[in-house]
Amino acid sequence: MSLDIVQVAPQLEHMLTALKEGVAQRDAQLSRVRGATIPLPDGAHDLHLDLAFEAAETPADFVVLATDGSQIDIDRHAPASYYLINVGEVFLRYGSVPGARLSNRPSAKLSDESLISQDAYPDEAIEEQDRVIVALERAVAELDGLLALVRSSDTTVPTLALMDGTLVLWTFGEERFKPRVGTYIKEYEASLRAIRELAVHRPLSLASYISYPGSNEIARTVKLHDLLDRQLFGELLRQPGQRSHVFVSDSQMQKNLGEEGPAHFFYMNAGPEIGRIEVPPWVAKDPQRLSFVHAAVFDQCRRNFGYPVALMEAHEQAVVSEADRQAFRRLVEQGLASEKLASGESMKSWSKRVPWA
Amino acid sequence: MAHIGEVIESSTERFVAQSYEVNSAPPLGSLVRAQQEGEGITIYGVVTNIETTPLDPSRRPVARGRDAASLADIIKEHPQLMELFRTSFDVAVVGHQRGEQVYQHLPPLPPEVHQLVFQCSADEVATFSHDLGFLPLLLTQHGGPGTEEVLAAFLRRAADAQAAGGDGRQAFLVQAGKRLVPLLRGESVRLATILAKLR
Repeated sequence: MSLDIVQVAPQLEHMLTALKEGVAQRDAQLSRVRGATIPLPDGAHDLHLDLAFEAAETPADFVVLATDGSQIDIDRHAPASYYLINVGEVFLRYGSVPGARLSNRPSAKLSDESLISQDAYPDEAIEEQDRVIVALERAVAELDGLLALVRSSDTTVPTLALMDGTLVLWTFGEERFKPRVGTYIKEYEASLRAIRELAVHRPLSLASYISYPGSNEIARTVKLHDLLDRQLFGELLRQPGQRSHVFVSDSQMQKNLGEEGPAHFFYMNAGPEIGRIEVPPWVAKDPQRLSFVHAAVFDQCRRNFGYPVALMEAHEQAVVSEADRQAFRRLVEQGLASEKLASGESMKSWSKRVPWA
Repeated sequence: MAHIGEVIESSTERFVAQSYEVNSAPPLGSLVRAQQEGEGITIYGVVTNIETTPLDPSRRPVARGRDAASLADIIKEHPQLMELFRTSFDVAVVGHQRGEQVYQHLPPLPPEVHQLVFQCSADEVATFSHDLGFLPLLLTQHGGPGTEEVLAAFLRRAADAQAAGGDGRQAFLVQAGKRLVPLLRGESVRLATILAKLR
């Protein structure tokens, strides 16, 4: 059926009114921040909200490496449980020998059904858990791909290894997934460690970049409860390239980084928006590496209308179009059929593909 | 000689080849060749059009060089750009060769897709263009720049190749012009257009 837009229109008005009220509240708080010194609660004096650091020049020659991933989720109504993870990999070199390599690495896998007992759980819950598991595996694959890029690039040139989103591996607390999630956490931590160990002998830094960050860790700490950090730092970092003081994240998920955490972060005026950059402790505590990350990420944004060019290209490499998704499913199903492994798809899935009336 | 591209679309009268380097292609009117392995023949064609387009058609390129002094400056600032485009060229089939025998008519089958494409040497151009029987095929080509442009470009290159072999450049062009007269009977404007470009 098509959407009844006449019924939707009045509901939109309610949404807009609620949004306007939210914006008004936020503006009231922002006007208190503007021009005033934010009163820091006891114990929060090391936040140094008044500090803004200018971006340094990038080195004459440097390399930016990035990965990003996409996934084709498990379809519980398909004749077999399979999924696909595609990792886009980007190598960019600037300076005297400019160059670029863009590629992607797809891996198709069967899902391990024995881990997912379907008894007593509704379909939706199982599908959601499948998605989260595949997303975790994808995060592990992205970091693994970044490690491979680091290993294959020139060890003498200053290099930024950049990930999309948070540096922290997000997990969920379902008891029965513990062994599998535990494996992912170990693999992720091992890749972080490998990158740190490689960095001992070469000018290498690791960071991740979050566009339009939704966190309020700092705003909350200074009791500006209606504000997000990006709104707060939009007031504090007025010039493109400026970054905030470096903070330590205290989110619960930090434990997933084990000895490689906790993630440190700073906010940066990327031009059109405030971005959040997360770095491991060994980068945060090394002024030279920190300065390079700041300079290189800002330079990436400056080259690409406010968003790191390496991340954009990694995403473009990773993305799987709807046509390719369908082609992939057909390929798998043809394979299953030719090997006489197909048990047929569910009627629900068939009805969605070929709706009848 | 190393191959310069690869067949990505193939049909009886024309094929499309992708270059390995962006912004690089055999010039308009050049003679290229590709195998038809099934038939064991070499297919000859003339480059009728060259184009460079985004690899991903949904990504529209944007201008980057406001502060640049040259294309090289832009590529230095954005080294990924050359990875986001591809250059391809259209080829009109003008004949084929089986063993030593050159035929100036369409081959029984077009080149296989992904077949390697080579640019012909001056010797090969001279050998192929010695007989002008391919002219009708080139005159009926559609698409890309005008047929007249492509035909004239090919004849100029062929004349250079003949001249390198000792024959007169001018003599070859005069002979080609004479062959065109009956082919373009009743199309005097078209004939004049081509002849004017044969310098």
